[in-house]
Amino acid sequence: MSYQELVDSITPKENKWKNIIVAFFSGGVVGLFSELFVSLLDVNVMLIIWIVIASILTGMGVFDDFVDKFKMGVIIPITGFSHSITSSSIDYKSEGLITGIGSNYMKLAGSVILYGIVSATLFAILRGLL
Amino acid sequence: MLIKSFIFTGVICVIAQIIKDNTKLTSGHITSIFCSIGAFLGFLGVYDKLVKCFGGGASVVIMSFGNALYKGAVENGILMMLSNVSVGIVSAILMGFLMTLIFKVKD
Repeated sequence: MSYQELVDSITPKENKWKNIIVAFFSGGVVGLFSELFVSLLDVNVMLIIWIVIASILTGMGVFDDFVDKFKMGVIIPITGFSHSITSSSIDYKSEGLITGIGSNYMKLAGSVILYGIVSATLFAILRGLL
Repeated sequence: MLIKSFIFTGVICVIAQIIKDNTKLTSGHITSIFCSIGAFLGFLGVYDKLVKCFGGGASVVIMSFGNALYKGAVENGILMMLSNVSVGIVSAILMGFLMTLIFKVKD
């Protein structure tokens, strides 16, 4: 038995179909409330509501359980963005304001911003050429 | 419209979940890829139609972040592209800092 087979036989198998159903319904609920907020208030207010909710839940330590339960349903909406910022900054709080919080602030959100900006620049240039 | 939003966000999350379960990509990879896809869909002119059709559901997924960056780059110039997404980024940064001041890491 190769090492990889051994690892595969020991690691617990996640039920992929169950994950898909859970992600669909949790993502769907987020989308439904987003539409509700947009129709009652405004797009920006909707984003702020989700960011504030996700940030507070992350601070309380509840959001990681949510991610375990609801899978990608809470990562792909803007809640995941807010969660990544708050969690990395809380994790490094003990290392101080500058070397801890400041330098680790954008750990995961930074990659979204970076590749978003790079691809948007490329597409904007491409549009200018066409 | 509520049902449409539900289905749209649900389907996007299902696609992300399938990618995550069947490849070695982490959530960080997937959100970055989806952000770039959003910029691409904005480039194709599809994303505005999606928002018109699916409402809030299309505005809340991370793809709308890429789309907003692309739109900002086209409308205000590449160096001003953040103007459309600054609400999200600034509020997330401020909330994150506030929460860091209030809460300690939970073990």
